[in-house]
Formats: sequence, structure tokens, C-alpha cells
Amino acid sequence: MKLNKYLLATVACLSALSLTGCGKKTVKRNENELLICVYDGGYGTDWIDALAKDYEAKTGITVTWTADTSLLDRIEDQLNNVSDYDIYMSQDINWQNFAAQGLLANLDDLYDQDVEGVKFKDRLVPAAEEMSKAEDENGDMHYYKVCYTQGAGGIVYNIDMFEEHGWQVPTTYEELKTLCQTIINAHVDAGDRKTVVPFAWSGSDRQYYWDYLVFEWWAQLAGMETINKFRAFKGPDDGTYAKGYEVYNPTGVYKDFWTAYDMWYDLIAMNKSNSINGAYGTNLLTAQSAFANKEAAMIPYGQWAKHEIENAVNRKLDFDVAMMPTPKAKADSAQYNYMVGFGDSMIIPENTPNKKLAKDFIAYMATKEACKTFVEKAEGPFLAFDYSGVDLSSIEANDTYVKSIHDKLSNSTCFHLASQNPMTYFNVNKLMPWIENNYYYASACSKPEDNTSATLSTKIYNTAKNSWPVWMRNAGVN
Amino acid sequence: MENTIDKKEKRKRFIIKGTTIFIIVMLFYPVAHFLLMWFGVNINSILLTFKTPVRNKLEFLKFNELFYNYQTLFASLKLETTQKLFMASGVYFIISCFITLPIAMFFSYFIFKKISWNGFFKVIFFIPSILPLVVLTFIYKNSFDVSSGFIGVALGKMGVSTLDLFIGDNAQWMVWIFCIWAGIGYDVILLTSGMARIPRDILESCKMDGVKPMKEFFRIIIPLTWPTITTLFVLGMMSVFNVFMQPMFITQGQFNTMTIGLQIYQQSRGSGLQEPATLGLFCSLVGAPIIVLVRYLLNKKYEDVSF
Repeated sequence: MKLNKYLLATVACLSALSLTGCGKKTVKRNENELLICVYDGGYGTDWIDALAKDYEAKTGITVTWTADTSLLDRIEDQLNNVSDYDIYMSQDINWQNFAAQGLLANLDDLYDQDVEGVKFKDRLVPAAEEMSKAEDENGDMHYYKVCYTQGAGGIVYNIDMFEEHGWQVPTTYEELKTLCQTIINAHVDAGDRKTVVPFAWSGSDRQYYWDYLVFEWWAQLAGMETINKFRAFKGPDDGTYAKGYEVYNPTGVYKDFWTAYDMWYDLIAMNKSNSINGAYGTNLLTAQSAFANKEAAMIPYGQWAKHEIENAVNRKLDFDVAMMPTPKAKADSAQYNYMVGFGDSMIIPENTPNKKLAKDFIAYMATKEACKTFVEKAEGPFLAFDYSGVDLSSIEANDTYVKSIHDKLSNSTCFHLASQNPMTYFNVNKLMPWIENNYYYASACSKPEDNTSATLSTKIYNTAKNSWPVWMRNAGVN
Repeated sequence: MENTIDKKEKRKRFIIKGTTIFIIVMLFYPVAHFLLMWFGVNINSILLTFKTPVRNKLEFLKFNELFYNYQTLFASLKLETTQKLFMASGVYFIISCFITLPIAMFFSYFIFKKISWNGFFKVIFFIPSILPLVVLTFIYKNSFDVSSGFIGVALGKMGVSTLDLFIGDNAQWMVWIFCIWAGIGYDVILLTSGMARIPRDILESCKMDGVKPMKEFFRIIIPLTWPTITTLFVLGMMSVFNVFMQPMFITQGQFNTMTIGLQIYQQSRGSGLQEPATLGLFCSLVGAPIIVLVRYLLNKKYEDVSF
């Protein structure tokens, strides 16, 4: 009997102990030190190092940064318990949910803070402000994140090669097709008994880089109104979630997406000679090396192309590169830029004692000088702030790539597919816009007849229609 | 006389007290481990299965809708994508228990008997067990690259293209082959350890009686290493729910290689945590009794032997 009592008491104590991990905690930290965690990706770390040193020199605050590829695996635990960092910068941060749980610092005062004579929110690119609001624990809307980068994607090309052979940068899809044929017909020696081909790309690791081209064609063909209808995930006719799957109807809102896919299909899937040998089955390093070794004139990529390719081949490219404005689907199409990675976020944990300092650092990032440093050190990517007043001439004089990205961002209507819709973030990797996160670019090159727009559009529509009730239940929408 | 009885009584009490302390101390670690590592960790997952998103936040369901997430899960079982998910995961039971394990038993016996090339087999099978999975999958996938992979280039010279190996239906096979190759090493390590414990005199006696290797393998080695085999079989059954990194690194879960484990992992990085929690608990409730039953039946096959 006594033994049972002892055991019961022990178990009760341990049970209580096991649950003490639940609940928010704040850690004591040096108030003159700022700790930042950034996602270790294609932007490199030179930029954060430079910004940290500059901020330190200006304020005397020590900035310690960590680059981590696995931060998403532990961020929720950090936010719930003791956060090791004052700021997180990464893609795929589940910030709406964190905000609703009260895990993120309210950034309303930051958005009203003065940065070089203007309010912080006026330093943001259009759409970034709206993308940063979410409901708090009580259902009130507040700012809880700052958009990280504005992004650009499309075709990166070898300027020197183009100039040497007199190839013109194509302005329309038809010109792009002609250019590909011209490159093939030129039989330019690429060494090792190879000739230069139009595109290097990796179907094995990065087939989704073709999205950047296809999405822009889609926007050009459909216009922003249709894209916004798609992002709403509501029935185009009745505006209800119940009929939301209709946005995938290949004869309705989604029709132009498939036209854009067809354009890619005709260019790449039906013309194997337009790609490096075995592109659809090859890895990213092979594609990067083919471009760096001048075996291909172009490569589909995001704004981090130059930095990542140089990093991969372990040397500076010995030719100039640029990202071309995406050749227009039709001659009279408007120019669009798909903002790659626009959903990426900078957040401040609620449980950090250095919230004020963290906000101050993000405000510093919005300054023109910091914006310029970011572009210079990351070699192409732009922060999600307005660059119209940032003088990049000294960088652009020697860097054709930065200039091309800047031009693309400045001269196009920028759009994104990041969504505030609960259907997307409560159903991870299910929607947007390839259902179930299945890409078909590599498969289309492997078996073109099985991956036509007609086949895929029906398959995707049916999957969406059948799964929709379950996805609605998961998202808690009616 | 009374003094002697008192002493005996005191001694008895002392022993009981000592026994009590001993039991508490011995039980402390396993109970603490269970409460902290199972109850503490999983209670939140169990509670999540009774929550639903309300304004971006997961809140408890009303009593009359308490099993809403389970109803959603059962509704999803009718979907082709979910059925494919369960099928793709179920294959790992066959792979682990009926392909990898028998092959591992066979090669473990080779290594145990120190046959020719046993050192070579050791290297081939042990290397996958000591390298991190991310490195291993990277090496595996890139070795089939047509331009730079040693297998891809070699097969290319023989006129065999490896281009489509990780695309479409082939992709499933490539993940399965990887799991067999990488899984054998782990099984071999445990089986060779189990075989090494078999007393030499039993084997010498068999040798003197003229028992042939095949008979020795099936009649002596297998029964004497049966507890290890049972453990590996049970672990193999659990791979239905555990395999997730292999398809994640090799195919990113595309081409019908998505498994229950990978789906739970991916979804748990999003907002809708109630969905992976419900799927996980459902799999545990279905899987655990089956695994316990199989273990019970396997244990009945041979009597436990201690040596």
C-alpha cells in the first residue's frame, strides 16, 4: 500500500515535470547583443555579415548571426519555449499560425517607425504591407512579419556568348523559339565534341525553376484579375469555398495556365535538342557546370543564380551574365515579373527580451545603404523594400547581372502567388498551383505523350475536385 | 525471547523498506522515461487530434464534433491519393521483412562463416550504415547521373540509359532498391552480432556430425538468432510508418513515392497540425496491435534460448 503511494507520488511529480515544457518563457539575454538566424540558402552569408558589421559600427550593438538550413525544423519549439535568436529570416515560416498563437512580436510600431524621413511601411514594395498582416490571439489584425526579398526569376543568359555570335535577346516567345534554333544551327564548339545548346537545366533537382517562366506567361495571358481569382480559391461564379476547386477547371480560370504550359512543352519537352544532354534526368550541379563551362547559352533560375552557380563550380564566372525580361507570350503582352520567394519572412519571437533592438535592426535593413549592401553582397537578390531611391549605379557599372535584375523588377508589373488564404497554409504542399506539389516538367520530357496539357489539366482538376471537401475541413473553412 | 522477536521484526521491516527503496529506484528511470519521452511528447499530439483551425489558431472542437478530424481522415481514405499513400507505405513492410531481412540473414551467415570475400561484403554492407542518410542518398542518386555518375556513365557506355530512372514509375523502384541496399547493412550488423554469440562448441559438434552449411543455417543458426530476427522483423513492420527520409531526398515524395511518414513530416511543418496528428495516431492505433500480435506469434515459433 505504502509502495503504491510512493509510486503514485513519483508518477504525479514526473507527469507534472513532463508538462512543464508547455508554456511561454522569456530568456534573459545581453541587451547589447542581437542574435539573428538566417536560412542558409542561395543568397549566401556575405550580406548578413556586412550588415551586422555596419550596424555594429553605427550603434555599438553586437550582432551575432547564424546561417542554418534546418531552422524550420526547430523554429516552433524555439518560439514556444526559449528562443535562441531575436530575428529569424527564412522561407516557409508558418507565421500566420504562430501569430494566432501569440508567438510572434507585434510589429505595428515598426511599420510606423521613421526610416530616413519616411514611415517604414512606405519603404516596402507594393503588396508587402498587406502580406504581413495576420490575426492575433483575439482575432485583431496586426503586422507580424516583414517580407524578406522581392525576387525575380526567369532566363539567365551568357551575355558574352550572345554578343560574340550576334544573338539578340528575344522579346517574344516566337523570337525565343527562333533563337533556340539559331543557337543549335550555329554549332558553336563547346569542347569535348559538344556544341552549345540553348538551355542547361536540372530535371532531377530543380525542375520547378521552369515555373518562373511559365507563371509569367500565365500572368501575361490571363492578367492579374484572373491570377487573383485563382489565389482566392473560391468558386469563380458563386464566390464560395465549396466550389473553390473550380479554379482548377481547365476551361475556366485555369485555362491560360495550360496555354502557358503548352508554350513550355513545345519549347522544351518536344525539342530535346534545346537542352543539354539528359537535362530532365540530370542533377543541378551538372546543369550549373554546363552553363558555367559555356556548353549552354541560357539557364532558368531565380535571382540567386550568379551567387549559387559560382559557389557550385567554385570559381567566378569568366563571362558576364544577365537575367532577360521574360520573352512575351504575345507581342502585345504586358511585362510581368514573378516575385520568386515573396512569401519569405523576417519575424521576431514574442519571447525574446530584445524586441526593440530586433525591430531597430529590421528598420536599419530598410535604409538605402543597407538595401544597397544586400544587393552587392548577395549578388542579385533584392530586399522587399523600395529601391527607387537607392543608387545602385556603382554596382551596376561593373555587374550586368544586378543591373538586369534591377531592370526586371523596375520595368515589370510584379506579382506573386504567396497567399494569405487558409486553404493554402492549412494544406501544406497540396495547392498552389501544381496540386499535391507534383511537378511535371521532367516527366513531360521523359514521356511527352503522357504529360500533355490535356492529360494533366484533367488529372489535376479531378484531384482538386475529389480532395476539396477534405482540404476545406482541414483548413476550417465553409 | 521477546527481544529476539523484536530483532526479527526490525530486520524484516528493514528488508521491506530496503526492497521498497530498491523497487522505486529501479522503476524511477523507466517510468520517468515513459512519462517524459512518451506522455510528455505525445500528449500534445493526441490533443491536437481534437482541435480544428479557428481564425488561424487550432482550438478544441465542440463535444458533438469531437471526432471531426477522424471523420475527415476516414473521408480522405476514399481518395485515390490517400490510397496510393497507404499502398506506397505498405510496400516497405514487404521490402524490410521479406526482402532485406532474408538477404541480410544470408550475407550475415557468409560473414559469420568467414567465407571468401567476407571482408568485401562487410565493407559493401556496413558503409551504408555508418554514413548519414542525406550523404548516402546524394551519392546513390548522383551515381546514376548520365554525365557524371559512375554507374550512369558505365551503363551509358553499354548502351543503357539511366535518364529515366528517377522519373515516373521507375522512381518507386529506385527508392525501394535504395532502401534494400541501405537497410541490409543495419540488419547485417545486428545479425552478425547475434551469430557471434552462438557457442563455438555447438558449431564444432555440428561439424563433427557432418551437418552441411544449409542445414546448419536453417536448423542451428536461425533458431539460435531468432530473438534478433524477431526484433528486426518487428522493426521492418514499423518501417511502414517510419520511412520518410529516403523518398524525401531521392524523389521529394513525387512519382507515388510519398509515404505516411513523409506526409506527416511535411504537414507538421505547416499550420494544420491536426491532420498529421490524426493520421499518426490512427496509424499507431491500427499498427501497434498488429505489431504486438506478430511479435507474440514470432516469439512462439522457437523457445527463447540463453547461452
